[in-house]
Amino acid sequence: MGTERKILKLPANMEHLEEVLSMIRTMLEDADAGMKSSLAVEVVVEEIVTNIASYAYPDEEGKMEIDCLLEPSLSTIVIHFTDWGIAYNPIERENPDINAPLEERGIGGLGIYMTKKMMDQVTYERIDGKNRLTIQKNIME
Amino acid sequence: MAEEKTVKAMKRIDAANAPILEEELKEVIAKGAECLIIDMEETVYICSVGLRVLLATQKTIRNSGNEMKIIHVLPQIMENFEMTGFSGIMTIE
Repeated sequence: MGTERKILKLPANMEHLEEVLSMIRTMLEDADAGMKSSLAVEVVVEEIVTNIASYAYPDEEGKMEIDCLLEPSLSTIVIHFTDWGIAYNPIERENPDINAPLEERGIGGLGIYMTKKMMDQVTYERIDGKNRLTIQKNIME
Repeated sequence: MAEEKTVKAMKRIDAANAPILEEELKEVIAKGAECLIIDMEETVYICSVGLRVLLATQKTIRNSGNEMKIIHVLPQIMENFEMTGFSGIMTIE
């Protein structure tokens, strides 16, 4: 099987989360991806789409594009998330202190922290007024 | 003995389901459970929104001097608890 590529361009809202997840699930299943990495990818995709849907367009309706590349020979999935909303680099967000006692644990920053921990690579670019977040993961785990 | 109340978590605690679980937990707390047990036997997926619900619930419970326990956690969920440091601040059995 050669490289699989699927692109979705959708309104940036939570109603379309399931559509994105289902596309990615199908791609992972077709490539016989491992259960552990499939779940990790799913959790992370949900995080990123939720973030875009919640924060990218505070005052207007906007779009998001999910560009998913699966390279079976490299056992790797690469997903680019693009939005045309306000500039935001989630990677710069400070990691939560996971050793803090309960009283001092904040509830923010968990999603991007999990994204960084669960993926092999996470990169952010701001190009031509677009936010582009890219995740990469070996799918054979 | 403290009064125990058990809430069974759903299969997927995703962004859509997390608020439903939160409501359920709030209801049980409002009824005055001294020991809240969250049974995660069926849970195979949890997102960060779901984790935040558990963290907020744990804080509420602790502030009221009560107790919370999470039971029957599957390995893939346990991994998330460890990754986020939850295993150090919650009672997980």
